[in-house]
Amino acid sequence: MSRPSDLVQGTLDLLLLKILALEPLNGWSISQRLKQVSGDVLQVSDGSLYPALHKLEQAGWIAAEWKASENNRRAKFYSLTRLGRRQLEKEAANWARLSDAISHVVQLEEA
Amino acid sequence: MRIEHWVYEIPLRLRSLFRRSRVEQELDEELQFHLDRKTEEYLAQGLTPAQARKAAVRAMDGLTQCKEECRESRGLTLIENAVQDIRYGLRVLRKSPGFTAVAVLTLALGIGANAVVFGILNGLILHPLNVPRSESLYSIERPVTFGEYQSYPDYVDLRDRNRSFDGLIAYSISEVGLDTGNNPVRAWLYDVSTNYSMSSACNRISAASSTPTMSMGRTALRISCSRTPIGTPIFRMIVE
Repeated sequence: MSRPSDLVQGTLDLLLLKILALEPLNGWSISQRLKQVSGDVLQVSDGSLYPALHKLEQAGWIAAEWKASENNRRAKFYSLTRLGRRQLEKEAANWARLSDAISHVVQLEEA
Repeated sequence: MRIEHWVYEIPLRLRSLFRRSRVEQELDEELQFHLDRKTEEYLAQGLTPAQARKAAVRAMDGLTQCKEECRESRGLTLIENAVQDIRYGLRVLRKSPGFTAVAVLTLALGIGANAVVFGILNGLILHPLNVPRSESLYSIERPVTFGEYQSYPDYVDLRDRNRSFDGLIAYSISEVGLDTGNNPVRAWLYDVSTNYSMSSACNRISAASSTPTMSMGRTALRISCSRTPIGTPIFRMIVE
């Protein structure tokens, strides 16, 4: 049970957009996928996952649709919109810039 | 880019606002689905159904709180809270009619007084008289101890010996009954000296009797030229 502070601020949006760019998923599957792809390193609490999804939907980056899930129950599936794809590119580029810069700093050798 | 954003956002917002029960129900269903799956997961780990259920809710940091945060993400809590506050306010006011009456009366008097004061300010200062160079228009009065009115011969003396102003005019206001063919109505009568038309104001008044005159928005009904009983030549303007 990790708190959102375990994630670098603002990266949750990027992670969600990236996961949904691969395929439309419901909230539960998103939480499973996050754990799976990050080798359990990135744990997003269920309590912060859903507000984040609703925020992304409100911003028009993802769209929701009710569909039958794997176990044949109605579930809300999220998919990336065209606007979301552009946002993902922007945030991914930002992240690359930021992590590059931090890596450089961390790898500085002592004189 | 911004427009495309609104294309997504506006329908969602309207939906959240006007189809609230539907949106709430969907939120319930979405979170319930997640809780059920999570409970299954804990059951598989060997927890009792009650423990599993509790653990699933705890993982969500509490169901109610999670729902509230989702609503906040939709950005509608502000409007909803405002509506709730207004409803609450109205309920409280209904419960204490005495207080409500006093409050409403106080507000009404306050707003009324303000409107009157602003009306005067607006008429006299913000919208000065509709005559050319109204800033050099002066009113000559005597101290009240000498009586409110100037005599006509005094005015004539002042007018003839005047070197400070372009000209001097005299006027007097009285109330008259005006027979309009229906019921007699009260009207204001302006007796003015014949040089009143120094400016083009008087011509304007004569030309169209329905246009407001220079005297603060009143409408001149009839203008005539005559002499008073003591032979003073005057214009008479009846205004409503």
